[in-house]
Amino acid sequence: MTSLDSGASLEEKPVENKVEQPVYVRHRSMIGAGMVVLFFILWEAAVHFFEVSRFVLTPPSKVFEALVDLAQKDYFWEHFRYTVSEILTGFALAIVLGVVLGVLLGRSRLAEAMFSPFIVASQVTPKVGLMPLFLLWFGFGIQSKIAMVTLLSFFPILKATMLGVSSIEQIKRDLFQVYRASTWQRVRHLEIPAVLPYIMTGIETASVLAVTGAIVGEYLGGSRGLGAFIVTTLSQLQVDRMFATILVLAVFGFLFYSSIAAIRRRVVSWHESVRLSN
Amino acid sequence: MSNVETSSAPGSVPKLAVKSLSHCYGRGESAVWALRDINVEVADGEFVVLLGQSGCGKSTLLNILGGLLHPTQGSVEVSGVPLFAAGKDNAPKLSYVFQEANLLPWRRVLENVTLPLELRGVPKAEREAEARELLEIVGLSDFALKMPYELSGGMRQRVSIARALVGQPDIVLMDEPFGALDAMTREHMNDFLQELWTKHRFSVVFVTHSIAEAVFLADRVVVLSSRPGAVRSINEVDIPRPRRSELMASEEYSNMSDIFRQELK
Repeated sequence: MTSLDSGASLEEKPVENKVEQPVYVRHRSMIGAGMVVLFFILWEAAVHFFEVSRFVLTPPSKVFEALVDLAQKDYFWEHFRYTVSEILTGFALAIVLGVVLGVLLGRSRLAEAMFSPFIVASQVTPKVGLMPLFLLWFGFGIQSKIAMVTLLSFFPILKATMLGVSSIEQIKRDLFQVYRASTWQRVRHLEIPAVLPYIMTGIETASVLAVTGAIVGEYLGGSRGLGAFIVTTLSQLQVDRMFATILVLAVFGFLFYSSIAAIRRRVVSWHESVRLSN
Repeated sequence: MSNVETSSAPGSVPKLAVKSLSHCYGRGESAVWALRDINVEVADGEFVVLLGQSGCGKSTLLNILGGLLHPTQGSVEVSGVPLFAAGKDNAPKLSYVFQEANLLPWRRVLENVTLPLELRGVPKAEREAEARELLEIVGLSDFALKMPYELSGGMRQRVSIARALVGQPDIVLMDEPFGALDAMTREHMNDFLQELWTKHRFSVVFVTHSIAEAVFLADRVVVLSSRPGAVRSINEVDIPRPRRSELMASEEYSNMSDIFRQELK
């Protein structure tokens, strides 16, 4: 077989999108880091300038001192590990439940019609309000917190998966039918890759809620975990330790979210949601 | 030009045989006949165009030929094998070029072309070798490892044609494949398709509502009437190949176009 001569004559330009990017785009992360440093400087200055009581707002210098101090305490890391294991376990459960139920509901119009009132109801219900019930059902141990993490992070994953499954184009399904693909081939080569960007977006959104779920759960019951530790520091008026703990949570939340976002960008790099944001 | 029912030589099995095929959407009082008693044959290596206005049921017919829709009545045979009764093993090898390129956006160009072979269980090395050969033929070998979004519309449609030709299909079905492209690209693609077909002689059923496209590409044009879609005439186009775009200015071209225009009324 030979190539066509007309191949060259009808050559069109492939899509190029390498445009010279402005300074603020190229140095985005550096600008961001600079702003964070500036924020801490202003905070420090404000506390000294307005002479704010250290029980109301601790200056960052004191917060960092408290942080260094806490970092050497075993019990602090004990709380940290407790919270992290709640988050990871609850989040993993939420992914499994959300994806499985999302696929089932997304595939069947009937199931969607049957369950959509419940899904809508659970969306508008403040789910944190259920925490006392979870304490009643699962006790003050880790189970009630895992339940809270799962409950909060489950819905974005469910919704995103349902949307993904129902938005596979008919023309793509036709393609697989013309080639007489088996059910398994269709699932593997069409449905999973097509739904993955949606699932990953749901997971990314849910990762923030997972951290919230764990902390709220610990606020309301039990004595372990960073949420419970924050309550303790506040009752002892150790505002510097409270801020230090919140800082640790913020850093963890940031790392958790950004590693999931990085996984998403890698796994579905072909998808518009990733390409257009780069 | 002559009206003929079939062009296949007596005794030989046609690549595609559509026999008294009718299709009806809905049931009872609301039933609408989209297709009525269609009889068409496509010989090996023949380029047949189904020409008709929008809504005449030509896409329905192509969907039935592609096995996407079961006809209400009648049968379809590919190389003598009934399309809807065949098992996975003796299933006819069909391929389909859609109005849009319909590539899988998560696969590289090469992996898009290998898809039909992959679904048939052809080993990786073998299917990649064949796909690379096809990409060479459609003039895109440099783009094998690109993602579909890095290609222009015309290039994507060429990838989709390469995918349709991989694995030597019995019949290639094309549903207004260049309808979504701009006029210039469309003209290029028609040139390209004719040249490709002239060299490799695969059997094609090509659906269009463009008279110009039909005359330019077809060995035979099947004109479909509307509501219900029925075969109005089957016409041999005996303009010698290669046909050039200058053809559109010639007398035989305008005569033939006039006839089709009359029949489509």
